[in-house]
Amino acid sequence: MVAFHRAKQVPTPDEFIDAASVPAGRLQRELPLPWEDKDPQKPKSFNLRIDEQTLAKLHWLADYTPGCRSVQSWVKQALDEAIEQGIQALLNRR
Amino acid sequence: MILVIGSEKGGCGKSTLAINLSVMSVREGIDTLLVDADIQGSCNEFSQRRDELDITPRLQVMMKHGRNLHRELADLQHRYQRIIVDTGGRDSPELRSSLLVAQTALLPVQPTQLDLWATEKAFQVTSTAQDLNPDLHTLVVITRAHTNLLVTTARDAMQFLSEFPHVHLCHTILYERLAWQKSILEGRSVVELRDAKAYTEMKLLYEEIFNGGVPQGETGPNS
Repeated sequence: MVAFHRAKQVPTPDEFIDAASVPAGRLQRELPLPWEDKDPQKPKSFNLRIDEQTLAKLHWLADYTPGCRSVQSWVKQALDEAIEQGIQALLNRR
Repeated sequence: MILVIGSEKGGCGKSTLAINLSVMSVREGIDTLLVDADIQGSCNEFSQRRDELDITPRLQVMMKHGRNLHRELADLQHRYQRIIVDTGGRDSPELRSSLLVAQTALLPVQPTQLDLWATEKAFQVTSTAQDLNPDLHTLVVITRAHTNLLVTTARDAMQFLSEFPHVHLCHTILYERLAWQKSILEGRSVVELRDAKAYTEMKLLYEEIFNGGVPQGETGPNS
């Protein structure tokens, strides 16, 4: 039987390091935080805005599915998104 | 000797392992450096806590980041007998860079499906690293296993992991115990805390990693 060898491409050390999925010394999700700015003139807070449809879903979930983990994670995700949008709007305003 | 502790997933006990292995090495009289390459800096915080509480022996921790970590480690390995690197729960340049000069990569894995999927990806990274660094060998240890004997997830995970030929699966399993959290809070390793079960598991793992010892039989939650 003839042995079959698949040619394996070996990257250079630099290529190997640069293929990492996150940049060096940084967290995957990194946003500049407005409240860290020392300038008192710059806005540092925002009203959390959740669209009506999401809010209705949150109310329904709170009423009918207390303690359900998958639901909790969805709620957390919805709130995270709303907070992130608020921060982004604040940053864009500046 | 350079040991890199890495994983694609957070919360599997990398920093806890790095801290415990480092403290055990220092207690054995081995000149050890713990390199904290995770930007969360947990190992560094632990070392500060240990210093504040005046616990001896001191743990020497250095924070290092960036894609040139391998150059720094190559230099440092002439000055220390043992270097343990905590790289954080991401496929980061720090992880990849340190694998280029390490002799051992230790991948802690929780026995959950999501962790096992992430581990397969980590194996691809260590496999490529082995092409560039033939001295590197990869160890996998199951961490945070359920102590309930009826829950067989750790055993199932071991069976799954044993199918990867280029990695060595540690016989020792680390079980989820309060002692791990308690020890960190007190600035100590579990060996110093003297919780019998966590102590035994950590001792067995230490022997397996550094002295090539293999425990007789399988470690269980009540061994």
